[in-house]
Amino acid sequence: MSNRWKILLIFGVIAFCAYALYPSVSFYTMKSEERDRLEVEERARYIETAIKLGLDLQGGMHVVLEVDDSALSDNAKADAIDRAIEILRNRVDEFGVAEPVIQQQGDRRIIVQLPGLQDPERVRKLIGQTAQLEFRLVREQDEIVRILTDLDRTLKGVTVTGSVVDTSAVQSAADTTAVATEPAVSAADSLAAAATSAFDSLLPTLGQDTEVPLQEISEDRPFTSYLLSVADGGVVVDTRQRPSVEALLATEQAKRVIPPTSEFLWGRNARPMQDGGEAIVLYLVARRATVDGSMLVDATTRPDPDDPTQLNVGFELNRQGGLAFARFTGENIGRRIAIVLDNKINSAPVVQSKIPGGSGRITGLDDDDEANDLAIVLRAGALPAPINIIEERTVGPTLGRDSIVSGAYAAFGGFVIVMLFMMIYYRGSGLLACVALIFNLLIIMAVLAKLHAALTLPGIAGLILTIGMSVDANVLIFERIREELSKAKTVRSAIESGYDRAFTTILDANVTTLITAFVLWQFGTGPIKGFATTLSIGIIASMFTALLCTRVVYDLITANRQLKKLSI
Amino acid sequence: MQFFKTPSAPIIQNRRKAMMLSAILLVIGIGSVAIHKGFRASIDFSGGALVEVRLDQSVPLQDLRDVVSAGGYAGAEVTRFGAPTEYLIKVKAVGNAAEVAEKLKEVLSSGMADRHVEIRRTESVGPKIGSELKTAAFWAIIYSLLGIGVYVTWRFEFRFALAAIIALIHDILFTLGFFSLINLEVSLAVIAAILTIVGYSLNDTIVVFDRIRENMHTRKRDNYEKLVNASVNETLSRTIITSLTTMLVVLSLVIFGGEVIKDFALTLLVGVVVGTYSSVFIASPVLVEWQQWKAARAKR
Repeated sequence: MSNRWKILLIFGVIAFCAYALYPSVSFYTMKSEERDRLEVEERARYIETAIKLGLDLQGGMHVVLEVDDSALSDNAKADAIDRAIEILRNRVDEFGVAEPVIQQQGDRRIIVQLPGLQDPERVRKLIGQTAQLEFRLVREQDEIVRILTDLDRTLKGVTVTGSVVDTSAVQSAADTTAVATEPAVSAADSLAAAATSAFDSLLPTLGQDTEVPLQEISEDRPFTSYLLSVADGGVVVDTRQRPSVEALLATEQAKRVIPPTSEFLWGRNARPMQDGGEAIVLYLVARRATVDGSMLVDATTRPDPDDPTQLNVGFELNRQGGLAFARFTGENIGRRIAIVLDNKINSAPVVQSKIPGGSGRITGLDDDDEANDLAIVLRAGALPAPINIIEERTVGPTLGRDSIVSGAYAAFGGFVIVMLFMMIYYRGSGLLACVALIFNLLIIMAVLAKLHAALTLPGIAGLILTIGMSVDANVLIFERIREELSKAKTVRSAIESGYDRAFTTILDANVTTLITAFVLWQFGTGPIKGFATTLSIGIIASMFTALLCTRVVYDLITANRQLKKLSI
Repeated sequence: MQFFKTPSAPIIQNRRKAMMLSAILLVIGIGSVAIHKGFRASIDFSGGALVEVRLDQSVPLQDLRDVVSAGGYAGAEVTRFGAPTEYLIKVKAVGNAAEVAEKLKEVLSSGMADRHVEIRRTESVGPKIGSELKTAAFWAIIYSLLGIGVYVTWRFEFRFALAAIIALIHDILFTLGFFSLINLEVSLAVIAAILTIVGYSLNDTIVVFDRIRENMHTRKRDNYEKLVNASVNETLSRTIITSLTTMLVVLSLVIFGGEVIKDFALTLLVGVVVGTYSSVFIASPVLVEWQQWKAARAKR
C-alpha cells in the first residue's frame, strides 16, 4: 500500500470515528434539562446511536430465568421458551422500561435486562408470575366436612413437626380406625358449627389468645387439630401452622382420601388476627377449571364500585369464554366461584345471578401497582410453564454513578501516567505513540457505539488495560528501531527494518491475546462480555494505529530529508 | 532515555534457581489451598445472596451483624466495603437466593430504622447456576490454553507451545495460590482477570519466543542455551517497559477504580507481575530444558 492510500485510510477512520461518536458526545454533554426537553423520537435516536452504558453503570436489573417445563409434553417443550419470551416481552413493553433486553440463553433460559430500574420486587412479580387465571367451583360445606372427617381418620398415627411428617405409627393405629371414627366426625362438626357463613365476619373473632400450638394436637384429630375453623368453602388456618397442614396434605394417606375431582388451594392473602398472627383460608375447589385465562381478551384496571380508592382489575372474555362463563354462573347461583391466579385463590365470591357477556372483576388487590401489574400480565397472557429466577443482579443508580466516576478517574490516571512515561522514555517518538494511543481510544469508543455494545465497568477496565497493552506494539517497534540504530544503520533503514521485524512479533502476540479474549467472551455474561469486547477491539485497533498510523508519520518525516538523528 | 543498553544477564544459566523459587512459591500456594480446604468461592460459584448498603452514618460492624442475625441470617458475612458508611452482607449457599436478598433488605430497613438505609446493589445466584459457572470457568481456562497451544504450535513448534503452556499454568496456579494465601474470594471477575493474565503473560512469552525463532535463523552456530539467553536479554528492555506501563495502568485501576472491581484489578496486578516473571524465567528456560533432555536422550 502506498502512503497516499494509507493516509486516505487514516482520514477515513478519523471520519468514521467522528461520525460514530458525534451522537454520544452531544448526548452525554447535554444538561439533563436539555435531555428532558428532547422529543421522544429524537431521544430514541440518540439512545440508538450513542454509546450505551451497561447496567452496572446506569443502574438496573439483570435477571436470568429458567423455564420449568417438566410438566409439559415434548411438543409443548419445544415451543415453550419462544412463547415465554414473547409473553415476557409484551409484559415488559407494557410496563414501560426503556431499552429492555430479552434474550434466550441455552435451551431453557431467558436473560432479561432492565436498565434504570428502581423496584426489583415489583419486576420480579411482573416477570416471574405465570398469570394462569382460572375460575373454579368451590366445594360445598358438607363435602368439606366429609373430607375433613376422612382425613382425621386416615391420618391417625401420623404426626407432624413443622413440615416433617412422621408416619411410623400408622400401622399400629390402623386397627383403631373404626373405633375412632365417631369422635372425629363430631370434631369436624363442631368446627363447622363454629363457622359463620362469611369468612370476613368470622376472622376478627378468631384466634384470641391463641399461641402455637394453637390447640392441643389431639390424637383423634390428627388433621383438624391444625385448623382454626371451617369457613365457607374451606378451612381457616393459622399461617404458623401452614407448613404442617401442607405436609399432612402431601402424605399418601391424605391423597387417597381427597377425591380426584377436588383439590385444596390456598387463598392469596392472609389476614391479621387479634393475637398478632395471621390466618389464611385453605379452599376446597374443583380440580378442573370451567373457564381459564386463554379465553381472556382484555384486562384493565378500574375503581372498585364499593370503595373508589381501591383499584380492581376488570377482564373481558372472548365469545366462547363468555358463553361458558354465563352457563357456569347460571348453573351455580348461590354457590361460590373461586378466581384462581397461579394456583392461589384471589377471591371466592358467591354467584348472585347468571353473569352474561363474559366480563368480571378481580378484587382484593393490595395496591394500585399490584392492580396495574396484574392487568398487564393478564393482557400479555399466561406463560406456558412456570419460570424461576435463578440469577438476579441489581445495581442502584448511585452505585452506577460512583462507578462511572471511579472508572473515569482510573482511566484518566492510567492514561496520564503512560503518556508521561512514553514521552520521557522515547521523547519525540513517545509523543507520536501517545497520539496513536488517543486515536486508539477513539476507535474503540467509535466501534463500541456502532456495535451498540454497552460500556460496562469491566469494559472500562478493559479500556485501561488496552492503554497499557497497546503502547506495547509501539514499544516493540521503538526498541527494535533503537537496536537497528545501534547497528549504525541510517535513520530511514532503521525505521524500516524496525517496523518489518516487529510486525510478526506484534501479530503473534496479539492473536494469542485475541484467542483468550474470545474464550472470555464465550464464557462470560454481561459485564465480562463487555470487558472481552473492549479488549478485542483495543487489540485490533492498536495494531492499526501502531503498525500503520505511526509508520506513515515516520515515512512523511523521512521522505524528503535525510534525518541524522531520530528522537527516540 | 534508556534503562539498559545491551544487557547480558545470565538468566538461562540461573534457570534452576528461578525454578526452585517458583516451586517453593507454588508449594506455599498449594499448601494454603489445602489448609483452607479449597478456595473461598464467591456467591457467583457457591450460590447465595449479596446486598451492598450505604448508611447515612457509620455504625459499628457488630450492630449490623446483630441486626442481620436477628433477622434470621446468623451465618451471614458482614464487612465494610470501601467507604466507612458502606457495607457488604453476604449469605452463601441458600436455596432461593432472590428471596433472601429481598428479605435481607427488609431486615436491614426495619432493624436500622433510625438510620437511612440505601440499597446500592443486590446479587443473588441460584445454587445450580453457581455450580454451572464453576464448570464453565474451568473449561474456559482449559479451552484458552488449548487454543493457545494450537496457535503456537502452528506458528512456532510444539515445544514452544509446551513451554508457553507450562508458563501459563504456572501463572494461573501462582495467582490462585496468592488468592488463597491472602484469603480473598474467587469470583467471576477474578476468573476473568486470570484469563486476561493468560493472554497478557503469553504476549510477553511470544515476544521472547519470536526473538528465539529469529535468532535460530541468524545465529545457527550458537549453542541453544546461549542463543536463548541472548534472545531473552535482547527483549528484556521491551519486556520490562511493557510490564511497567501495564503495571502503572493496573495500579491506577486498583487505586481509583472503586471497590466493585478491586478484586479484579488486584488479580490483574498480581498476574502482570508473575506473567512477566514467567515469560523470562520459566517459559524460555523450559525450552532449554526440553532441548537438553532431547539431546541427552538422543545420545543414549
